[in-house]
Amino acid sequence: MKKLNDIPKENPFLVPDNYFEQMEQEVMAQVHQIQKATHRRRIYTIITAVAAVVALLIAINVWIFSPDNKGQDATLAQEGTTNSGVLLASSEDNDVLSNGIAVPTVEFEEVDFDNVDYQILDYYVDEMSDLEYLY
Amino acid sequence: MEQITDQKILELFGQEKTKEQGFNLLVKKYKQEIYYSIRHLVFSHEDANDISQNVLIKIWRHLDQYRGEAGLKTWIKKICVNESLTFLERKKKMLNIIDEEGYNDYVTKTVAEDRFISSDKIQQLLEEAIQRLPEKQRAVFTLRYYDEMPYEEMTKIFGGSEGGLKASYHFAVQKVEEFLSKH
Repeated sequence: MKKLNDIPKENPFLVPDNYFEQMEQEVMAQVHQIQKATHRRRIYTIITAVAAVVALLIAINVWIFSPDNKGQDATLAQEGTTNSGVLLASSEDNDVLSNGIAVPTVEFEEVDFDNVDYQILDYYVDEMSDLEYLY
Repeated sequence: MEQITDQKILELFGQEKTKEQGFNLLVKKYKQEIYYSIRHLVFSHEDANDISQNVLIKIWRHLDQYRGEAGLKTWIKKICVNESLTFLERKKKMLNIIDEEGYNDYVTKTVAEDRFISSDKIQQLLEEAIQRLPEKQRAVFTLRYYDEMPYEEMTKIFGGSEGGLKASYHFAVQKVEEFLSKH
């Protein structure tokens, strides 16, 4: 019976020329890629964290310093009239505001209703009935 | 060339600025040992090349977790053995070889057709005998026979007792010698 100890202990395997130098280069190239990806992830994490902090600070600032809109008497119908004649509905009209609806303007003349001629009042009422009222 | 010590490697690897330098030294020192350990288990050069590179990348990712309970060489060999055994398990399923005879035929064919093996017939026969061993027994045999690793170190790779590993090696030698005598 053949004995293992009778056989010379040799390395039976062959490798292509320059295999180990090439293997070393390939592995180090992979390591460089891993390092770059790790570095990019770190930068991204820092930028995201800074952006989140800045956004939070802005939000807090806006919340602290924004005017309280409740109890304002002035309507946007008077304040928001533009030259083009488009206005936003009154801030007291919550249903309209929630819809954000724009309505065409009508130029109103200053009228003293205490001393009005009822014929003229009827005229205005007729005019106003032609307008769309949105609720 | 100055001898690269494990201590030097770990020292350099442990600092962010010199981590890559330390790893490069590790690759220079251990690349051949890693490759041939794996090659003895998986036989094919192409497979050994893939697994070797995977092992080295794994070492790069996990060397900071090395605690020094076993020597650095043993720690590296453990990764080589585990990766190789996992690969062989997957390959066996892929080849769909059900019985021992089918597997032995596959081994004979593979050794005969391989371009990267010595032309020495005795060495080819020995390699064929080794490839016919069950995977874990093959790992025990190659670490003991080629690397001359002490049984105490081998228990850190395989677990179990030194006695169990000695018995496994003894039976592996018997099988190899039986095969060589028949051929």
